[in-house]
Amino acid sequence: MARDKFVKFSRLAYLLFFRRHGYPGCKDWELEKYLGRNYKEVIAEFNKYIEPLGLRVEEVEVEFGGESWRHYVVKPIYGSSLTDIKTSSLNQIDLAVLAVSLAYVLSSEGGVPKKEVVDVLARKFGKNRALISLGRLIRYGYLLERDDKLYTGLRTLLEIDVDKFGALLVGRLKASSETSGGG
Amino acid sequence: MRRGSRDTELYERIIDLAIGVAEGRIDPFDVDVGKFLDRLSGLDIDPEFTDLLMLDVRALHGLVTILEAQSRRLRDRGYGLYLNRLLIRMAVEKLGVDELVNVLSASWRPIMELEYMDKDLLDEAFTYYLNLVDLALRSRLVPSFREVALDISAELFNEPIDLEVFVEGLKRELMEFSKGEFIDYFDFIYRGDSPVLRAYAISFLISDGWVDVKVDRLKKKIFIRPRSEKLVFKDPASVVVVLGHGEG
Repeated sequence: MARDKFVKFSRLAYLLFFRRHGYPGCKDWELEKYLGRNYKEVIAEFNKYIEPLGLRVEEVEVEFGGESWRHYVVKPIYGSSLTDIKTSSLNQIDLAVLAVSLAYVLSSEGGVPKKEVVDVLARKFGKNRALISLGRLIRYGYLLERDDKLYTGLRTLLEIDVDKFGALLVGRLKASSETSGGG
Repeated sequence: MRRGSRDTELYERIIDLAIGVAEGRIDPFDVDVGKFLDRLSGLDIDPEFTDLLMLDVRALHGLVTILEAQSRRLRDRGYGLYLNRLLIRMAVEKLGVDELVNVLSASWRPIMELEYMDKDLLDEAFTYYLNLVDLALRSRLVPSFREVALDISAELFNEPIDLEVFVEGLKRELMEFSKGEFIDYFDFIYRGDSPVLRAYAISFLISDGWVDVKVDRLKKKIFIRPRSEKLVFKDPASVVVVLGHGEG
């Protein structure tokens, strides 16, 4: 491998693989800064090396906080085949809290009062547990807290197909209503 | 060319509406964007009035924001994704935790991310640990806030003094010690036995206009100079001075 290419690949790997901020991956301007204007070509070449490992660099269009940019993250191509290995620091309650919070945030145009979400969560998990989970999700960047309101965090936009989530939630609710109505 | 308050009112009305939509207080479809666009395009602003131009730009941006919210709502409704709070509340109540997590995991797009510990950071942490005094010892070395407060109050108030006489004496001492030139504030404060009392007393001389203060922010030094005549302040300012515990 040519020296120049090696340097660019190692820079790209550091930028994409390692956690440097509150969000995964990196923004387009960062890649342009460290790899040059032809960073997309570098990514295409880099993908040839990591795809045999089951990984791929993907581009995500992001609109967040009044700005929009192209964000680049590394995703597993086939999903995790090692189901018995814990690959995230979130537990099942955190995920449930995220699901509920996200549903509430999506149902409002401009953020949802945190108290409203906590009240709902407290009925399921208890107030303390709900607050601990919410705090963790805010810290990881899944949710954004501003002026006692919760908003979608950047990490959620990168990691969750928000449209699909909403559709599935309503679909499950309809299915659940039909089942209970029919029974 | 018009520059009436009615134009300003229109701009402010549009900006308020946009903020209301962004905050979720106003339904985006309650705003007639077309009507407001027509009214905005009918305005003729003199480019010299930059404040009006800025309002014009902000109002236009506000209308774009409202349009964006309308388009998002339409798209969500089109996809059948329009979620209202009642529906959400029902979903949360009816679906169990497992079901909610399943919904989330079905829409999850996993991302790979590694945590990496830099060797320099490890070295830094190790050095910090080595230099850290034991917690039990630290509590004895560093005085508590209560101890410091008691020391200061004892120095200031436990020995009955005539503050007016003390301040007058300090003024004379400063005049003799400085010979009318700027001297280091701390050199003067720590000359005597009770630096806190001296600092307290000199603050009266400064406030009364008998002492000039000069702060060199680059060198982090404070200088004082006595005045032969009292200065009448037009625009007084304050300087916070920290005296180290146990010094002097």
